[in-house]
Amino acid sequence: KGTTDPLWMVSTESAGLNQLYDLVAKDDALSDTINALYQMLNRGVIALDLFVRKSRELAREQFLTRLHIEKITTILLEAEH
Amino acid sequence: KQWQDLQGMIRDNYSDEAMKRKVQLSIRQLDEQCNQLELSLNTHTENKLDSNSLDTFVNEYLEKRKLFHLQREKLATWDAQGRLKS
Amino acid sequence: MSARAPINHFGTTNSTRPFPPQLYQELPLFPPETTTSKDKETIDSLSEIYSIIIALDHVEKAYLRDSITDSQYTATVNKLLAQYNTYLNNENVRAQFHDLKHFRERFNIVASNAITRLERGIPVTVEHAIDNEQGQNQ
Repeated sequence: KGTTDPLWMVSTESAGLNQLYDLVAKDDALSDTINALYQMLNRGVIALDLFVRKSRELAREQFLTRLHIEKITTILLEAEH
Repeated sequence: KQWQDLQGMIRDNYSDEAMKRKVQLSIRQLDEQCNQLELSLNTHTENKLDSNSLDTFVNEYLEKRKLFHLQREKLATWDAQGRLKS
Repeated sequence: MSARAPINHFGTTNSTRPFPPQLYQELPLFPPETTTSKDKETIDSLSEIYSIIIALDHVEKAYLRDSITDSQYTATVNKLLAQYNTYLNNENVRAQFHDLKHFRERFNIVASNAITRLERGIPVTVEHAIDNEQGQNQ
């Protein structure tokens, strides 16, 4: 990314913390996307079966993301003691 | 005069405030792009979306949302802390 | 806005907390040295259970808004409930899952319609059918 990305300054020295930022963003993004699918279901843009299949796929990914977040935050919390 | 112009340009483009404004703009643009993406699919109420088209939508939408949230998080951290040590 | 992204306190000079050295690198979700295939299978099942809860919640909400028909709703919810119970038949899964309340709290699940449905164990359309039948028998 170099210095053309204004947020390079906000990257921390820790790859683990950077990873946490990415995971939290991914978790929120997955919620948004599942919600978008739900709105499409309500508007009749997608069929119920397709909604269920795709939202479950995204939700599985969200679960793994949350598990991953839990792993990293556990280490962070343990470091405070 | 050229030196003043250069200083002005550097200040305008690379100061903290300018950088933050660019990020805020990027965040708003991403949000708007996502709204547009959703709206573009509203024509499908007669012929519902098929699986492949949905995958295409989801892939693009998800990526934009990730970037949106990541930039918001980092901007919030930046604001809260001033400049982080690099 | 997410309140979970950490403000980095570790880099400042006033920080008294030691920075955990494991976090200088990225952390894998499934570290190859400690993850067994049984672990992966259990986690896989838990992720399916999570996905069922999320999908179920939205199906319930969509039904309440008349976005789907009675028969679509009934068939889908029956299937999701059956799948949910199948995954929970596994004792390794149950050991990690504990109970629905524990699972919800641990993974920060907001899905009130799904929780209700899972506790009732049958689709709301079937509940109504039973109620009607009992009403007629009196």
